Amino acid sequence: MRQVYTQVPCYAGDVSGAASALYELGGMVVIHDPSGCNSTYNTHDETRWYDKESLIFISGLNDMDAIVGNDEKLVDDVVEAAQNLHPRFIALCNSPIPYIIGTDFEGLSEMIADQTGVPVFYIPTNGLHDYVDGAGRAFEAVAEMLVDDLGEAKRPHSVNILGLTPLDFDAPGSAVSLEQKLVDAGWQIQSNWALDSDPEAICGAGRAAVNLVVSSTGWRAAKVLKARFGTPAVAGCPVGSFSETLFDALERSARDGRTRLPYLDGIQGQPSDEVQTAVIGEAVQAGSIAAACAAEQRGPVRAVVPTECSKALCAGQVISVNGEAAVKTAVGGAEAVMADRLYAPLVPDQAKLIPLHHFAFSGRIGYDRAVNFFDNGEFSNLAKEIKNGNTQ
Amino acid sequence: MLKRVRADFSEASLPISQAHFPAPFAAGLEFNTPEHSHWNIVHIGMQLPESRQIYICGDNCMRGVVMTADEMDAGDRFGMVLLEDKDLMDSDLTEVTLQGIIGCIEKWQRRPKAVLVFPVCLHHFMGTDMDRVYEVLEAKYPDIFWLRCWMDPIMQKRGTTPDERERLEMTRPLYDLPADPAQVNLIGADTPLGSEQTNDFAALFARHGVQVNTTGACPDFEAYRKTGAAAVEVYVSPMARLAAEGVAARLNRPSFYLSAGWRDAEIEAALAPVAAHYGWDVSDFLKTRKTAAEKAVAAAKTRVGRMPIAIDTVGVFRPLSLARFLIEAGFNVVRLYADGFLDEEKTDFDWLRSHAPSVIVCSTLRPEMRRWPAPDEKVLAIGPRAAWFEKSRYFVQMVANGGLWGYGGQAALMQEMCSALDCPKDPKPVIGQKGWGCTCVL
Repeated sequence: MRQVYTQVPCYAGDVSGAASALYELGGMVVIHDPSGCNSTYNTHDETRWYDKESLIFISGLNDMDAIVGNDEKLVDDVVEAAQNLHPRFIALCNSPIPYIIGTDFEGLSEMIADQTGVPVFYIPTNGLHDYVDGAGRAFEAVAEMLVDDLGEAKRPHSVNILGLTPLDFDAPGSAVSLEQKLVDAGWQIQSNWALDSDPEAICGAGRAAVNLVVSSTGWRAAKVLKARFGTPAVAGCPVGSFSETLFDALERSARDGRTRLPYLDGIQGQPSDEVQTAVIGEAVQAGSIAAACAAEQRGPVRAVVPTECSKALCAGQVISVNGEAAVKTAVGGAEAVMADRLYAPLVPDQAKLIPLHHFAFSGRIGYDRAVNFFDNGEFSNLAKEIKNGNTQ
Repeated sequence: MLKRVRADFSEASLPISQAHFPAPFAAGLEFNTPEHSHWNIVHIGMQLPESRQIYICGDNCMRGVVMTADEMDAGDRFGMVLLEDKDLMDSDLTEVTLQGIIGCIEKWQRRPKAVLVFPVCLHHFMGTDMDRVYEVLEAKYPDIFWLRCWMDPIMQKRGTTPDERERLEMTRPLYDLPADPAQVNLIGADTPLGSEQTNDFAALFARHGVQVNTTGACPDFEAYRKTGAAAVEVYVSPMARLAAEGVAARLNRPSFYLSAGWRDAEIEAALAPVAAHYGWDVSDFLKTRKTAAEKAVAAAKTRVGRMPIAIDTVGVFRPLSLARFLIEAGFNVVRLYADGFLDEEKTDFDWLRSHAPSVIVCSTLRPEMRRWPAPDEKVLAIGPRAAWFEKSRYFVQMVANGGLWGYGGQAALMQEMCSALDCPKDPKPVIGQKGWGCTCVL
């Protein structure tokens, strides 16, 4: 049975993804759930909870309120908290029980907005999906609701970074390093969604010349920004020798307005039935690392993607998988597997495991060994490990 | 950049003289602090030797429990069935649950002796037939003891909580054996026994040659089952009442609630029925320990002086009793972090209202508590949650009374308070650790 897991954990859930995406934007996130969601999120899926304030709460739903449809309690509680804490916006997240009983979140959002005068939007999570889905839907809502209409002209050579959360980029300094890399390549940062970010800059995201989607969580927002402002998107992370390819794609997309997925090109055309190096992780990040590896070694490289993602982001040797057996099959025959340490039970005996901490997977376990991909020194150490087959 | 706005705390903190009992605050949206020291259902269940746990739920609910298991290096004892949309819309959840559990058993290379199964809130709402699930499992795997747990927090505000039910289930494997007066069971797998120095009843039982059985100390499942021979069941955690009374009724044993009150009268009142049951004269025993505790209190008063003290309900079961004990001893208790009180705390609540009306009761759940400001002065915190709210480096890290009970507990707490002042510590890595006292790989 594909849904049975006994060897590895699951990824952070959709509600955690939504909360992580919205963490720094000054809003209030309310998860309509009995208990546990917030604790799970802030313990295992969030690096900022202790040191940086964010208004993320649960509703404390109980059985009788669910059965009799006492939605007024939710409305009253949200309104009361909003009037005391003054958030910039309110986001309502769904969870399994309100999902199956069909709670009308759109209607509740309107009621709360009427009573508070604060923008309210609904993130259609349901607790059954992973963080990519939740964060993606949250960023999509931001693109629809919080980005201002274009009042000024586009800023040439400016970029929005989409899909940047600690769930995928957990090493401290990741956002700073990424922004610096882009600046060094001649780009101005319009906005960063949303790690060490400025919410005001996100309001002006329509002015950017191009969107850089650094994880699948930014893909839905990129589509909205394309529709609203015609901004093209490029998916990929500037890591190792793939950076130049990515920057070139950014330049071209800014010029011709076309969306590009250069990491797919980087590992296309390799034999599909064999693999020397496999990278397990989120599609854009793992694909970019795989593309960097492909540029530096001769053997075939594959990205194995157990997280949810748009079909557009997985093609060729970027393979979407679901379940423990599928992961095992996809990395079978590899000589080196770059993955979070908790994937060790699924890595073939003959393969070297090159640890790559992924916060959305192993959370706090091994967090002190997280790698900043955008730091050239740290990534080149990783590349050397792949080349030499060294493991820690 | 965003500016931080303060909040109105009038609905989240108030002098005890104005507080209602037993629920001082209105329910609303709930905040969750970065403090996670208490034990959850995973920690509690993992104490059962040679057992494994299987959860059947969606990704978001699963994440918390599977990471709990991994952080305590017990991922190999954890199985999960990840539910998807189709399982709720187009499938029979009873069958999905059953086949998922069977899938876990078949994937594990070694057969567990016992399995704690956790369906969730969804199973209630989808009308899942869990009786049929267990009927099939018990027929297919008669060598496995199946424990019928739940992870259904939607039910907990008005009924039995998941951990209360789990503790009760964990008593079901105990054999019905002839009573052995040389054994007693401490029911409640997350209640630390402590040592003879820190715990009066542990010392008393040891003095009379009675072994105190705890779940985690059993080397294997069979040894655990044989603790059914204990002639007496005792419990300290109020959350273990259902389990203790349940097993006592099933095995026809007496059960005693050793309430973790801090004052002399409470200690002696709790111990008296146990002593009477065994026919022990405990007067000299108590006198000796009381004298030692009084010396420890005097020493701590010299060290702590009038430094403000805050107490929470994660660290101790009876915060009002502790506050009263400390105030009567001359300490300066200023704040209590509690969202509700046990009925047995009413006497202490009333005493505090009359004798220490300015003590502030603070919610830990109200949303505005996210912005609770750091105090202007240095505060000694007893319990991890108080440490977080007080932003204090001077704190006693303990959960579920930390094995402190009676006069020995008083003395040990005094030493811990002095240590907290002498050795300040960064709270972040300490209070964020889940299941304080369990194995932890962080």
